[in-house]
Amino acid sequence: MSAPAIEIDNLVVRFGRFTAVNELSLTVNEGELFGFLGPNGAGKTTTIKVLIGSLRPSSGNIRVAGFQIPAEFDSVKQQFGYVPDTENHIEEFTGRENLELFARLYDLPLSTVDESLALLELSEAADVVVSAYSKGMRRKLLIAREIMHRPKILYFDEPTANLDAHSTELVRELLRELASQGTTIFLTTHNMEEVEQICDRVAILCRGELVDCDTPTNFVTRHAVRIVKAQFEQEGNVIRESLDLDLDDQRERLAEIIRNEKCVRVHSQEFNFQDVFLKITGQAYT
Amino acid sequence: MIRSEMIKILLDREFRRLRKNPSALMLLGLLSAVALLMATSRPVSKASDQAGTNDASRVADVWLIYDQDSEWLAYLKANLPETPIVHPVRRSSVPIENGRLKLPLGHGAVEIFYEEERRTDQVSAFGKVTLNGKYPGKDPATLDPFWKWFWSTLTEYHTQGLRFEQSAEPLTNQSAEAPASLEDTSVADLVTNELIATMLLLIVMFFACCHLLVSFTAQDRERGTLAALVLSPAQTSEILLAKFIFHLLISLGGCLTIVAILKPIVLTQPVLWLVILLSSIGLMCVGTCIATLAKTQASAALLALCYMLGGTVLFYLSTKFTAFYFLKQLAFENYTFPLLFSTMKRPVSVFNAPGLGTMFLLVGIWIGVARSCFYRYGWR
Repeated sequence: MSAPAIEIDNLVVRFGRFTAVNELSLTVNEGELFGFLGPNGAGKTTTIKVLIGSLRPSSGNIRVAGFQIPAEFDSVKQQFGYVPDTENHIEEFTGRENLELFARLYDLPLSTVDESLALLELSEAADVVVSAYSKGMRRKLLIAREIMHRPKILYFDEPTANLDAHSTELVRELLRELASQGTTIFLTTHNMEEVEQICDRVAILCRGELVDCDTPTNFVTRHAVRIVKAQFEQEGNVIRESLDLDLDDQRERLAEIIRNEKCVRVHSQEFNFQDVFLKITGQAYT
Repeated sequence: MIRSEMIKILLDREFRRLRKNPSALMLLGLLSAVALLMATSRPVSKASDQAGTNDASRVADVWLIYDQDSEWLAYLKANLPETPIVHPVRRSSVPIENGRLKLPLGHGAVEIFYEEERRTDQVSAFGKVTLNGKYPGKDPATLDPFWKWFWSTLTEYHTQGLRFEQSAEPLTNQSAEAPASLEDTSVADLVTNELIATMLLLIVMFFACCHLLVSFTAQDRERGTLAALVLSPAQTSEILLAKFIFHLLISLGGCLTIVAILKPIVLTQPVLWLVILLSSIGLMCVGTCIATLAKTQASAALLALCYMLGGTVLFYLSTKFTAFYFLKQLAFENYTFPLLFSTMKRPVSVFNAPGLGTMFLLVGIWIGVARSCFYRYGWR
């Protein structure tokens, strides 16, 4: 993780009077697996569209792999792959034909087609027309297409949407491997578990503004709450208490309960990224 | 810089997609079949065409009734046809009952009324001739064989210069009251094939270059395939060029088939191919703009239909209102039809083809507009 692969500086995107992205600034390093989170309509897809050159920004500077966007779009587009949230295959073609077309466009040997298909466990369905594919298979074919040319930067919009448990794990493993090989991965997702598991860094966007950006570990440290929930019996009644361990009197109270009462259950509250996300974005809304 | 290898790959993709959607070319097959049937069938007469009858329904005997002799009438009498049997008779010899001609059943008649006028500024008199055709049944086309003989013999008479110099007006203009379809029988047979061939070429060009391009491009856009291609190493200009070449090839192939079937003699005419090429490019540019501006494939198809109907309305209104007439001059399609039609009829030189230069200019403007539209909004 050294030179920045993506640099966004004061990005503003407006649609008429509506501001979809407001003064967004962030840097994604090379080989980083970067999670881009936000509630619906936060401006995640708009940001990705600007990054791939599909949407012109109202203002701001964007550099991808050292190239200015959108001015140097033709030079930069070979450096990245983009997996959109909706499939864009040629429906009449088979899976293999779809990949072969792009392999020829990228001037790749046709053997890479078979490799990519095998990597995503699609070899058996390679000669079936895409219109007969399931949603999960289409998704995997899309990923196979976009990683085929080994791009420096990969944009993923909901990488594991519509995938079963096995395929989800397969894709996550693939993302980790690609990142370890130096590919910068910029992904948006609503799956908080995924973010915690695979991302090196996470940015949270709300109403077009960057709310927070940190590593998942730091998010845990900063936002974890040290609360213990105790359940005990007292004079025939079941009583539940929530005790904050950061407060002296509540720590003493916990000790007293454990010492004097008949405890049924005592457990600490686990850190939950979803709760943090809701808290952060909720705060932003209020 | 345009890379031929990219164009080849993209063209291959277009053809493979077409091969998997053969129904897209159904209309071209249909038009070719129409042309083939036209070429292999014998032209039928209007009478049998309209009434579904055969030669037997034509009038075998026609009475040519006149009041006074004249030079041209004498010429007609001297050149009577074998069929139908024409009986030139003076009005006084024809039996009349209750003011109506009494002729044998199934016979037709043509009355000649000759009015002599004298102009004060001219030494000689000139005549106004009115022809009144009468036929059994309700089909005026039963007199067609008679009219065919009548007009050709009369034209022959005039071209021999017997009376032409003294005639103030051409005789054809004096036959205002003659039965309808005179022109149909004498001229229509000569122009029908050219006219239909021109119409078929226009349909082929519109279908291949506008309708099909709009449909395929809008589908690509809607599915996101176009965006995927643009994000690949292929340049936007290469994608657009590949599309243009693909649709142009379909258009040229369709036109070649139609012309080869209906009028192979004009295949060697450069003007024909130049007009087809320019019109096809113009229509592709229009199609690109439509596909670019429409959000979905359905709305794009609707826009293409509106364009066609709008063009038809404009051309009709241009015959009624001057504003539309001037507007029509700005449409490259305005020059397509007359140029194609005249090329079908006789050889036209590239340097003497009326409107070809204007067409070049208008198509050039359309290329600029389409390119700009596609670059700005085409895949976004």
